[in-house]
Amino acid sequence: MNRLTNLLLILFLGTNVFASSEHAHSLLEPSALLESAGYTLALAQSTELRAVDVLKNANNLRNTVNELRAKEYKAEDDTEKELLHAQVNLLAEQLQLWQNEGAQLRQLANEMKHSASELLPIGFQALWPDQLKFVGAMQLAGNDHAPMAHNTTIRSVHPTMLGKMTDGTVTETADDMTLAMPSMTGQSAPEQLNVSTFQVSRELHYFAHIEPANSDSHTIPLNTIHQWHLFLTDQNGMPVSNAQIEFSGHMPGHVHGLPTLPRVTQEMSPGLYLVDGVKFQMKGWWVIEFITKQGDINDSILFNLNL
Amino acid sequence: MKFIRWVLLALISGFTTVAANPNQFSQQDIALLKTFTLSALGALPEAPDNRWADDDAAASLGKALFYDPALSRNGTISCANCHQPEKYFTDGLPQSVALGTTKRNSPSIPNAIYGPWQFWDGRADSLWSQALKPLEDDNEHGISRIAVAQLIAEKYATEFAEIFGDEQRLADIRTLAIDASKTPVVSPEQSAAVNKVFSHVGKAIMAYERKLTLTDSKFDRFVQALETNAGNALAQDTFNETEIAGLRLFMGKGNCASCHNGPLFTNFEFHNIGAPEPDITDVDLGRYAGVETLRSSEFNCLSVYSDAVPEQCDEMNFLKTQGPELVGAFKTPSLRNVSQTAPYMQSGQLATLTDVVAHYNSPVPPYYDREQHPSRPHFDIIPLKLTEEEQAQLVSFLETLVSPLPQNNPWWFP
Repeated sequence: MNRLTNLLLILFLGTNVFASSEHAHSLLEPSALLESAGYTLALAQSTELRAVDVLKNANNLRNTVNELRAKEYKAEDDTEKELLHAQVNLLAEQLQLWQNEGAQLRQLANEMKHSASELLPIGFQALWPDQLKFVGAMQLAGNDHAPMAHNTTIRSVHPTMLGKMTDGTVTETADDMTLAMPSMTGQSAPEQLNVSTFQVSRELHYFAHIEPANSDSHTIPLNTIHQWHLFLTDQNGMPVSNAQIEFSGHMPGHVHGLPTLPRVTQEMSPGLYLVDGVKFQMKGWWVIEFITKQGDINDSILFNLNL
Repeated sequence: MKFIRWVLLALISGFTTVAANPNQFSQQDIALLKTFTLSALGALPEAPDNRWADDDAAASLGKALFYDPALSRNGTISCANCHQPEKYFTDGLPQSVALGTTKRNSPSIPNAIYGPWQFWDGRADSLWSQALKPLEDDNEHGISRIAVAQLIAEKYATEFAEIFGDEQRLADIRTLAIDASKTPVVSPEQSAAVNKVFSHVGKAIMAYERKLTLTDSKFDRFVQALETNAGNALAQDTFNETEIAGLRLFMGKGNCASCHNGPLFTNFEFHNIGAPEPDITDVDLGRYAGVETLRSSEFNCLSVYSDAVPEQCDEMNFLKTQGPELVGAFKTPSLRNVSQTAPYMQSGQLATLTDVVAHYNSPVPPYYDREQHPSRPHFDIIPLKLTEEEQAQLVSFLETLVSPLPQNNPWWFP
């Protein structure tokens, strides 16, 4: 955890947990870490919105400054030119301040998001100390670090798609191998893919964690139906029961989906769901989405898998 | 600047020295290659839907049924017509010929016993339900299930009574009209008895097929030799240079291992690779149609003739039923013994392995006809850009996947 997280924890938990006399003897409620992450993310979101607002105003101001500059350039009267010049200078100073402010707010928002994401694994562990087993990224069993992507980026091949028709397979060789294998770059995966199994939902209503069920390691089998555990809390770190959850998965690089239709088959204990029927028929970049429905709240949680 | 150029040159030459020695394999290479060897195959998959899957008596009975031409309309066609042991249980024809000509190429049985799906379109979810379809197909055995049940009552009554406890059922079946020219009047009890006995025919044949195991191929022995010799391919004489080059292409530029992975060189899933459409006036919808047949099959894992409880039917319970990926898609065939099982593709459209590799090298998108296809088929094969020499190397590698015919395996031959 970085300093920002600690600071936020102290500020937030100081007023929340220790104020409650009946829990004064315990350091933290199990949900407190995720609650803190939720608060940080809400702060990050409002900070991000402020950043957007400030930068939008800065853009408008820049347009004004540019217009005035053009006027100043064209002005024939010296007094007018001088007046315009003074205006441009003063406004340009403001512009600089606004831009700095926007950039700083945006950076702060990113730091808050980052620090909140660091809270998620320990937050979930605090809530489910006995059930939660793995915090690392999911990997395929066996040759777990060898790239073997199904190397393509397009839905349909047509002779008019020149680049795709002439390059052949892009391969790469892992450090400890001599076999060159189709590389992940062919699938247009982002450089720094977020493959954490701890994620916050799109609308910030939920936190979720996934891991293989009935497994002694964080690896999952290829070409075999298997099960996952899905841990789900709300933004206050409270386990979410009776959520309606849909599961979908696809390979962005190939525009095709999973070979099965997995689904949540039972809620094993409050907030802990069993996902059954999961199967991967290919290595590569997979995106898994849980679409959640709870009363009027619609939200979704995305996980990236680099198998 | 000059210094940097020297450093770069040193780095590049260092890299190429490593990459240019095709005869040295690392421990990680071997670990990966081992996932493709028969040693990674493990035990036969569980078959909760067939209680007799590993019953030796059922297997012996299944072998007799497999080779018995009496199980056909005119008494001349057995399973072995299109699944010939000396051809790795294929028939060498583009499309199989029995009483008529079928739509599809005969698949190799030993490769099929580990997969969740049978037929090119996966319209059966077990070997036992697969075995029943050709019996009733007019182009294949062309015999009704009632006639099959009557034949069993006549010819295999002792075995069916002993193994499956079918004594009463066979007695019920014997009361059916024997006159084949008349449609017999069948009571619901008799119908259930017929279906049950019919399903047992499939289950016995499946028990037999599970005995058709593969022996190590040249490729399997090559990986073993690499392991013994610390990855040094020069210390072995199993693979020559061309085959080693072909193996490296298979895993790399050839992009083959994306789908042809695991010890049987298949992911058992369905893909449209744009093989030429055999008949553009009547397109083959592949998995898209197969999945519908599978769902309505009276002999699938969820059926009353299955020995499984529904919770054990994972593939059926999480079956993918929609999506452009299913349109014109066919099951990834195993590459074990592939050089012995020509011709290739679902209808034998490609005659040789050279043709197959050439197809992948310059693929053409699948035929699409909006009148016939429910949607444009999904297609994601890109040209490999392999040279003629590389294509030949790839074919050489594929030829190393042959398991010698097991002359001493009594299950394999009649």
